[in-house]
Amino acid sequence: MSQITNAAEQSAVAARFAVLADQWKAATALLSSTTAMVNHPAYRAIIALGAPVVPLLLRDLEREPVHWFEALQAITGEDPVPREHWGNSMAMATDWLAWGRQHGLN
Amino acid sequence: MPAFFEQVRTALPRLTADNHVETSPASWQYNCVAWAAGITDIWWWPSPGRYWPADVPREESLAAFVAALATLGYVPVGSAALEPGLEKVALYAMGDQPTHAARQLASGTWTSKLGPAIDIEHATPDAVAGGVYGEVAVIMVRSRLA
Repeated sequence: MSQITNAAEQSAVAARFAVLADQWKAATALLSSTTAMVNHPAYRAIIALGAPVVPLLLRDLEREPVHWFEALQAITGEDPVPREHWGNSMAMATDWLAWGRQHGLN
Repeated sequence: MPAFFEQVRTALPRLTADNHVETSPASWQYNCVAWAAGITDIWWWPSPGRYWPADVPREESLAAFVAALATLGYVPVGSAALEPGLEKVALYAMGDQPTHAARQLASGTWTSKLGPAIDIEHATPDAVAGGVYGEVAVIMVRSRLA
């Protein structure tokens, strides 16, 4: 029963994430300010989804280096990106994907 | 008419089908400030986690953005007009909040990276002003690199 519930919850999180991610990408498509991007309500709502959304963020990062870095940091409390990678979206994505593999999340 | 233009026409109300052309696919790897500096693999912004030149204040102010571009040899100038041998950059702002940067090409047209979206060439700096980028606040210039 709990497996069914977990699967249903994961499916609901995935559906909610898909909607919020689309909203956020559309609303911030012209912005260079990462401050404005991460303060957008849809981005904050994704962070509020908590730990269940982390594998979904990592999956999206595997596809392209979307700026999920602040969301991952906020949810996990971790930051695997060394300062010398700041701004290098590809390297930052690689750092987070390596962290995900270490934690069995991707 | 390109689909992207349909999406942004409200946000960039002075952009018309006739005053711009798309010149690259979308990319999360660089933004307008990096593109103004001629860089296509780094995202420049003064917030933590993004590249910002050393010794320039990490603050979202025009002064900090002018100082960042000064590390590349740019200095403020009064006119956006094309001058042979010179490369100009336009900084856009809403009040003192920097929003965007565009770079003048040798042809006299301007090139912009639109957030994580596409690059475009536009006829004038004003073509991408008036919406989410506010207005042109500062023009800077340096010698055009070979």
